[in-house]
Amino acid sequence: MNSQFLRRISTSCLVVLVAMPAVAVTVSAQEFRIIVNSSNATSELSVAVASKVFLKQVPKFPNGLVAQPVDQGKAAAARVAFTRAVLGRAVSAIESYWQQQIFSGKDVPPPTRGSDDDVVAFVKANAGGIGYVSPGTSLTGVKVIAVR
Amino acid sequence: MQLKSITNNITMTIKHFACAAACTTLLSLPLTLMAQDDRLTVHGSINMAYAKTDGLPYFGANKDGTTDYRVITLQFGYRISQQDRVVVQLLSRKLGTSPLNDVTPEVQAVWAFYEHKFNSGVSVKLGRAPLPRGLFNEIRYIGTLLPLFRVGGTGVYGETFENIDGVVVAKKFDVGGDWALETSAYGGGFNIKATLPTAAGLTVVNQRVEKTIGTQLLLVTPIRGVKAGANVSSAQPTPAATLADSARPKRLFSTVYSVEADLDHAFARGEYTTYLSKGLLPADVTGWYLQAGVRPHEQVTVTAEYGALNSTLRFPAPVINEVVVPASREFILGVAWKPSAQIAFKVEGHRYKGYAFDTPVATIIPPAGPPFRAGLAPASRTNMLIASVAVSF
Repeated sequence: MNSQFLRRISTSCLVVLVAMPAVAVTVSAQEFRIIVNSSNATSELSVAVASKVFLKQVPKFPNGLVAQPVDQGKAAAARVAFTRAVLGRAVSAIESYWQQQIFSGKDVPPPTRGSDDDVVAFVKANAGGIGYVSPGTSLTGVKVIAVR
Repeated sequence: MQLKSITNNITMTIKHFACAAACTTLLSLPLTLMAQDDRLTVHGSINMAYAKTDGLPYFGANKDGTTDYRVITLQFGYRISQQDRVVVQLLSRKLGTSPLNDVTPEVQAVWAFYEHKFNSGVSVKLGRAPLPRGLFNEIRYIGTLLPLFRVGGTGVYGETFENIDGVVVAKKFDVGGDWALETSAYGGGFNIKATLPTAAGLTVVNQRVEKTIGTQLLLVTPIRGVKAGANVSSAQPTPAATLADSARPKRLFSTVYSVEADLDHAFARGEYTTYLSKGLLPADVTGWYLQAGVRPHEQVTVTAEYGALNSTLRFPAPVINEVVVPASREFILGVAWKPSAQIAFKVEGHRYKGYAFDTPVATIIPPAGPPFRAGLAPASRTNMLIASVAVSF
């Protein structure tokens, strides 16, 4: 009885441990969607490339299109989740990164939009546009890409 | 004479008023403007402090203490297209009673450049551009990005190499395995400013150099925050055009070696520099610093720094020897509280020993007779407190 109980506990723990990364990815994916212009042939990006695009460390998508990233306000839930999941840091750390870029004369941050709808409008209006929005946002004229 | 005095007073009043107005404007810029237009960007920073020493005046502070101690920047950028932009950055800097104030305009355009970014990732800046030199050169005035009030190492950065009038070309190469090489090359001219102890007392140098060429390589490792590199440059001091070739000052040769590990909860960095002047400055100069710190909390940083600056003085005949002056030995301990990326409060103590004070101190003991060997006077000391607040947007 005891050994059966222990086996069940062990199995449960194993299931939880194995499932944790998947759960984390799912939670992140539930908190934001990454969108590009409908005319952009890109259907997926690696986390590393997506990060470099948003930090303006690479100027183009892998297909050669000049990227035009757009951000949301620093308190936006989608930005907090996106920054943690894709850029791998807290929003405050990314703000420090941009301060470094601004005051060393290297670059300025992407333009900021105040709402999901504004981000969609920006991406729709720019062929190289790329942004992130909350789930449930109307995505007419843009398409969601996968980030792995 | 009286009229001149009145005029001076009026001029000073206008300058102070303009400075106060600039501060007020900076702090009251509407959030909508700070939120940025897509083409026009406005950024700025204020780094202001109270500074006081317990003895000799040093770096603008004296025993009276001063709140006339600040650095203000205001940066305007305009994006002409996805690949082209212009940037202007204004600087207003006041360091109490420092002799450097004499060679520092109340407001100056430290940057005014046009930049084109090629599809290959190459950036070309033309005009008065930030000079890539060491870890901190371009951001040396931005208090929210510095662990202490001012940039590390009095000798490594000093008051020179702030920018370059000419061209700066930069590109970052991914060299595989998350390694990268940040490269830059530059050419043009700039002003060398410094206060140096010499045999004749304290010398404030403000010398134009031209025909500068230089390059910097920074190796970025796969460990986020760890990098190392070197910078080499050579410049021709002016005036030289009217001088005979034999009388022209030789080129100034300078190097900087940098290494940094800036991790989540701790950091360490060090830089070493040389200025070999062969006639431009009254001395050859080497400087270095080591800086380390911890972040016990996300918003709190404790930083310790030790830096040194050496000048090698040469004398005319009949003096037969050179004297290596340990111009400064400085230990700094500081605490910073940074509630956000845009605000930082800092308190720091400096323990300074050397010869580079704001007033001349005995440095060289001249030879009294044969064999005409110059000697070194005992070093002087002072302690300094700086309490500062930095804001940027």
